[in-house]
Amino acid sequence: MGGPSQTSLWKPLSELFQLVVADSQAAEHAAGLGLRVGVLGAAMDPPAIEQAKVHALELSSHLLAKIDEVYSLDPAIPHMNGAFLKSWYVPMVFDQATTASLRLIAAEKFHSEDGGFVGILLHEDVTEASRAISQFGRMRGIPVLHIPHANHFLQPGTDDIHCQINSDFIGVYGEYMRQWYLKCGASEAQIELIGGAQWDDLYDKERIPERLHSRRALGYKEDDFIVAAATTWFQDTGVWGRGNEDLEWMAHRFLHACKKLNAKPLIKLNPGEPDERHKDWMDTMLAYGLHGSISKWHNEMTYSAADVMVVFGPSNLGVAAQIAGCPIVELMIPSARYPEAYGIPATWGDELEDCILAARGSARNDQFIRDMNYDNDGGAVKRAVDWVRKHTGV
Amino acid sequence: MYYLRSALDWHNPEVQAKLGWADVLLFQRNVIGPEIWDAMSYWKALRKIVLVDLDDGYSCIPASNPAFPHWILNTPGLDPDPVPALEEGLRHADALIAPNRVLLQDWAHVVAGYYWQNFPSILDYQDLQPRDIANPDYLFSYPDAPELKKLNPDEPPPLLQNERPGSKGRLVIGWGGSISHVDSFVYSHVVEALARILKEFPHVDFKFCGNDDRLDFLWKELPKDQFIRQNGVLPRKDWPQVVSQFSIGIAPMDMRPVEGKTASQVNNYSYDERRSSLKLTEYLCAGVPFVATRCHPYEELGHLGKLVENTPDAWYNALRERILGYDHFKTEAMKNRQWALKKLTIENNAERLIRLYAKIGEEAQARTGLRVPNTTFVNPEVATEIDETLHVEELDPPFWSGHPHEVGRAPYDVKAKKGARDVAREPWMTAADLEIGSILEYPLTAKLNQIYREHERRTEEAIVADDGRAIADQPLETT
Repeated sequence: MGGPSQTSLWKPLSELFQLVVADSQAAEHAAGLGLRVGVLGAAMDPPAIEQAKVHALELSSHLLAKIDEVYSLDPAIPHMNGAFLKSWYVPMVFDQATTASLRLIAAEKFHSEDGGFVGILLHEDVTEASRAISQFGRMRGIPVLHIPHANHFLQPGTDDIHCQINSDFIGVYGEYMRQWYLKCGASEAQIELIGGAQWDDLYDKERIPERLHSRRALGYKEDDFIVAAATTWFQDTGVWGRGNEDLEWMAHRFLHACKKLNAKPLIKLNPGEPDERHKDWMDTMLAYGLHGSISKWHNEMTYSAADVMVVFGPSNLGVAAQIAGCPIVELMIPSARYPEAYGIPATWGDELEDCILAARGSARNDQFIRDMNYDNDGGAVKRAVDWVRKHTGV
Repeated sequence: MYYLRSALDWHNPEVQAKLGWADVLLFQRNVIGPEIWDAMSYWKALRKIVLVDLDDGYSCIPASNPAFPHWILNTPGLDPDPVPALEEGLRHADALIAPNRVLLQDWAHVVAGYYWQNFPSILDYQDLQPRDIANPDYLFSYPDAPELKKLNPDEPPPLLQNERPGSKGRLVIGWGGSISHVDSFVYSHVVEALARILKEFPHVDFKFCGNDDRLDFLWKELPKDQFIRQNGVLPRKDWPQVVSQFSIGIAPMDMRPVEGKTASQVNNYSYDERRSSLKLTEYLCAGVPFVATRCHPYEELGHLGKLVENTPDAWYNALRERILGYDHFKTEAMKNRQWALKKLTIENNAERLIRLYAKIGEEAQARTGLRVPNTTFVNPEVATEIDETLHVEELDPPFWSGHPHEVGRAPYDVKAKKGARDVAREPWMTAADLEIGSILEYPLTAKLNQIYREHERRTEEAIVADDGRAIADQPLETT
C-alpha cells in the first residue's frame, strides 16, 4: 500500500518486483511516474462482489440480533444503544466487512493466479485498509513490512491506536522512532533503521530551489523576514485539546507574532486540512494587515524561502525543514512533543517572538536530524530496498 | 531527433511547427546577429525556455586562438562587434548554460547562469578496451577518397586502426584537442618536463593528437623517435578509441590571468580557466590515469588523478611517479572508470538535465513576476473585503501549560479507545476469515470520540439552558 511517503521507493522496487498497489489512485500516481503497477481488485467480477456482501450481511445480521439482545457499546450513552446504535453501527460494520472481504478476495485471487505475493509493504498499519491487507498476509505467511509514514511524537507506550503493531517488521526512520516502537511492544528483531525515504531528495542540493527564486515564486521580496507556519488539524482517533478553538488561537498567536516582528507569514497547510482553511487564513491575515501566501504544496520552496518555520505541534515537516537547513520553532499542542533533549525552541505561545528570533539564523540541529532520519545521508531509499529484499528473499 | 538546417527561419510555418513542439530551445555559442536575436525573442514570447550554451571565454580570447580575429579583431566586420553582439544575444535568453562557473560569472550582469558539465555519451565509452601496454599502440585513420567512393555514402566511414610498428610494451603519454591550445602547452611548461621524461625513460612516447602544427617548434625539444602524431579530426564516436590508447593523459592549461572584459568579469582567472573539464572526463571514462594543471575547471575531478602547478619540476615528478607506478595508477583509473561511466555520461545525467531545464524555466517565470500555482497570495493593500469583526489586537494568553503529553486529553478519549478495542477483541466479529472487529478499530475509535464529544456538548447545553430538553432523541451530527 503506497502513500506519498513511499513514492520514492516505487521506482527502485519496481526494478526488482512487480508492484501491486491497493488502490487505483496510487496506480495512477505510479503511471504518472512512468511505472506500471497492478491494482488489487482492479477487475472484480460480480460474483465476487456478491460473495463479499454475503459475508458482510451475515455479520451485520448477527450484530442486529445482538443489539436486540441489549448489546451496547456504552450503556450510559443513548447513541451507543438500541435503535440509535443500529442506525449507524450496523451500516458501518456492513460497509467495513464488505470492503475488507473484497480486499481479501482480490488478494487471494492475485496470490493464487498471478504468481503470488512475496511481501506486503505498508506505509501505516493501523487503519482499516492496512489491517485487512495485513491480516491477509499473516494468514498466508507473507511477510508484512511496515515503513511508518511519520513519527508520531506521542507519549511512548501510549494507548493511542498508532502504538499498535499490525506488521511483522518495521523499517523505522531513526533512533527516535526505533525507541518509540520498542516502547509500544515491538521487539529488537522486528525493527531496522532505514531512514525516511521521502526525505532523500532533501540531501540533493540540486533539488532544493534557490532561496531567492523561492521567495519570488511565493510572492515575497528578497529581503523580507519570512516566518513560515506548518499548520495541523485534529483527528478523532485521539482527542486532545480544544480542537478548532486551539487551532484558531494558534493562528492568531502566530500572526500576532509576525505583526510584532514585522515579518511576513508563509502558511504551509497540512495536506489533510480542508480547502476552506485557505480562506480562513486569508481573512485573518488581511485583518492583521499582513502580506503573505498560503498553500498546501511547495514544501521545498517553503524551507528555502523561510527564515524560520513555526510548526504547530511537533511536525514531521519540521524534520524535513531542518534537513533543508530551515530553523524551526515548536508552537506546542496537547498530546505530542518533540523530545526536549534536542533543544528545539518550544512554547505554548507566550514566548513565541523570542523563540522565533532565537531560532533565526541558527545552525542545523544535526543530532535531531540524525535521530529522526537515519543516517542523515540521503540513503534511505537504498536501505529500504535492501530491507525489503532481505525480508522477501528476493 | 532530427536536424533542421533552417531553424533560424522562424517565420516559416514548417519551422514553427517543428520547433513549436519544444519546451526548451537551446542556442549554441554564436548568438551574435539580429536574425538570431529575433528568433530568440519570438520563442521567448511564446513562453519557451530559451537558453544559450557557451563553453569558451570569447570576450577574452587570446591571440593564439584561431578564433581571435573573428571575436576580437572583428574580421567579418559585424556591427555591433562580436563581443557586444554576444552580450546582446544573451539578453534575449532566459539563461546561460556553461560548463564553467567563471564563464557564468563573466556574464552574470546580463543573464542568469547555470552550471552544466560537458558529458560524453556512455555509448561511445562503455565498450572501449583500454590498451594494455603489452599490446601495440594504434593510430587511426579513414579510407582515402577513392576507397570511400566504394562505400555506402549513407553510412559513416569505417575507422581504420593502424598498428604503430615497434609499439608493443611502450608507454604512451597522450594529449588530443583542438587548435586553441598553443598557450596551454607554452605556458604550462609541460614540454620541458616531457623532454626530461622521454630522455629518462626510453620506453615512453608522447603522442600529440590534433591538427595544430603551430606547436611544432616545441616538439623539437623532444626526441624525434619518441614523438608520435595522430593526425586528423575524428568524429565524436571515434574519439574514445584514440583516448583509450593513452597510457597516461595530460591536460596542461595556461594559468596567466586575463581580464574577462565584461561588466561582471572575474579577476585572477586565465582564459584556459574558462574552459570545461571535458578532457578529464574523457580520461576518466576511458580509464586513463592523468596529470593536469591545477586550475578552476579541474577542481571537481582533479582528485581522481593528479593536479600540478605549472612548473617543469611538478610536471616531471607527477609523470615520473605514474610511469614508475604505472600498474597501480592504471588499476585505480580502471576503478574510477566504472564510477565515471555512471556519473559523467550524458545518459546517466539526462534526468538531472531535464530537472535543470525545468528549474531554469521556473526561475525565469518567477523573475518576470509569475507565481506558483495552488497558492493564495494575500495582499492587504489590494484587498476589497476585510473582516472588521476580527479583533486582532486582543489575544488571550495560552490556554495550556505543562508538558504536552500530560495536558488536554479529553476525558472520553480513554473510553472511546477502550470501546473500540473491546470490539476489536470480540471473537464473533469476523467475516470471510477476517477479524472485522480489528479492522473496525480505527474508524470506530474516531466515531465513538465524535459521539462522546457531541453527547458532552449537548449535556452542557442542556445544563446551561436548564429547560429539560432530552439530549438523546435527536440524530447525532457526526460523520
